[in-house]
Amino acid sequence: MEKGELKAIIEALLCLSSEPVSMEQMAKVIDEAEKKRIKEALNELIADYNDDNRGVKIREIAGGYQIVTRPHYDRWIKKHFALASKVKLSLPALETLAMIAYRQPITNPEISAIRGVDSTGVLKTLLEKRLIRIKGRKKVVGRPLIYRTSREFLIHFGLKNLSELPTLEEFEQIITSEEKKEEEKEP
Amino acid sequence: MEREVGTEFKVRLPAFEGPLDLLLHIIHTEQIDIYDIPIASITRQYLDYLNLMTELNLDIASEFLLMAATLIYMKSKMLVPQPIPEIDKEEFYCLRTELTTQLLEHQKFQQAARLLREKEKEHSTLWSRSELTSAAPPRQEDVLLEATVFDIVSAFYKVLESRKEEKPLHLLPERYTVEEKMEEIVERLHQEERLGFFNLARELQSREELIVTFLALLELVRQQLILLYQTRKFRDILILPAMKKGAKGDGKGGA
Repeated sequence: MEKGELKAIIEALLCLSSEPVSMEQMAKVIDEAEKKRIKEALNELIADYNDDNRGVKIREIAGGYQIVTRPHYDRWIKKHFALASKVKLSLPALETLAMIAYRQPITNPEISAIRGVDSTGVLKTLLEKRLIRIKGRKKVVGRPLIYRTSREFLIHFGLKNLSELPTLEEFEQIITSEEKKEEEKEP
Repeated sequence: MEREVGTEFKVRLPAFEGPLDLLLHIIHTEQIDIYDIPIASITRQYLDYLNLMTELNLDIASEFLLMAATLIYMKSKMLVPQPIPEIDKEEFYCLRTELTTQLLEHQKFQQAARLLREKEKEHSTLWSRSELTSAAPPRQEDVLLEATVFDIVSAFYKVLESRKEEKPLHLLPERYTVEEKMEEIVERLHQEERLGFFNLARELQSREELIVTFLALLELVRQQLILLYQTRKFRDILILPAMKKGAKGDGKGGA
């Protein structure tokens, strides 16, 4: 198949999909044998969108690709669709999410122990927002529920996958380097 | 090492979610070495904050008190007359190391949370098709909030309260069923495009019918046949038809 045709097909697919479309899904629909060329066409398409300064772009997210509007056009989108700004999560919610993202599978007692506060309320909010999921129960006393981050979590934070997040050790380094800087400032 | 604190509390007190947040706050503002925490001074500062929080009438969660007790206990270990028995010394250092580990761990996640916040901000102005609700678009200028189960329950409670029936207990055969009510609601949505919960409730005859209707609404939401919205908390609940994937028409009905 011609490259231009491939690009057009991908564009059409992405245009109407509300969920991110993975490479596998595209190959399945177009031609399994053409996987490599589909990937090439997709990359070209992404570049085209970037070059042309369009109102939309293609982003890689949650293991797939998706057409999104560019930040600059936020204002008009909200006006047209009568949308409110997206809800921002509270710091405790973000902290809890971070713990789940890094330590999953994890239970409420484990989270509460690290945070030093009871986390039941926060977990409920995160479940309601579908940012985390229950993945069974741990086989320990009390059989607490096991939590994991969801696909919505990746989408909410614009992540391709979990490994895109820096490791906890890297955070440690950030903290120590910040402390060093402060010490240097001190006479 | 001991530093006088508590002399000048700035006007605004940051909201501390838990005792570890508060301790880290003290450690950072006082530039305390997290690997060598001066227990006596940090205990005093911690208690100063707790007092202030009490004065400001902030609720102090039990976790804060537990940490206070731990700190005081550690301090007491150091206060026993010299020479300090080895056992106490050991326990003290053990507890202190444990506290340090916990604080370091907590700090890492605080940092991670900050990163998530940045990411969230970065992506909050990008919109995709999935974020446009599949509901029939709002007709008026009202900003619609997605109502949570609790909003719905509290709105229901409001209606229920206004209909107190104080009659002796009679057991009556079931007059209304959830299934019937579900059908009725769906039918009406076909004709009226949207319904207000308060209005709907007003038409109903009894508490029993009200409860059955409410259960029917919840079931319809669960099956994703309708959407519930509120314009503001504690306000009326709007009932809108949900557009099912692949379903015919745009759900606006109207005949």
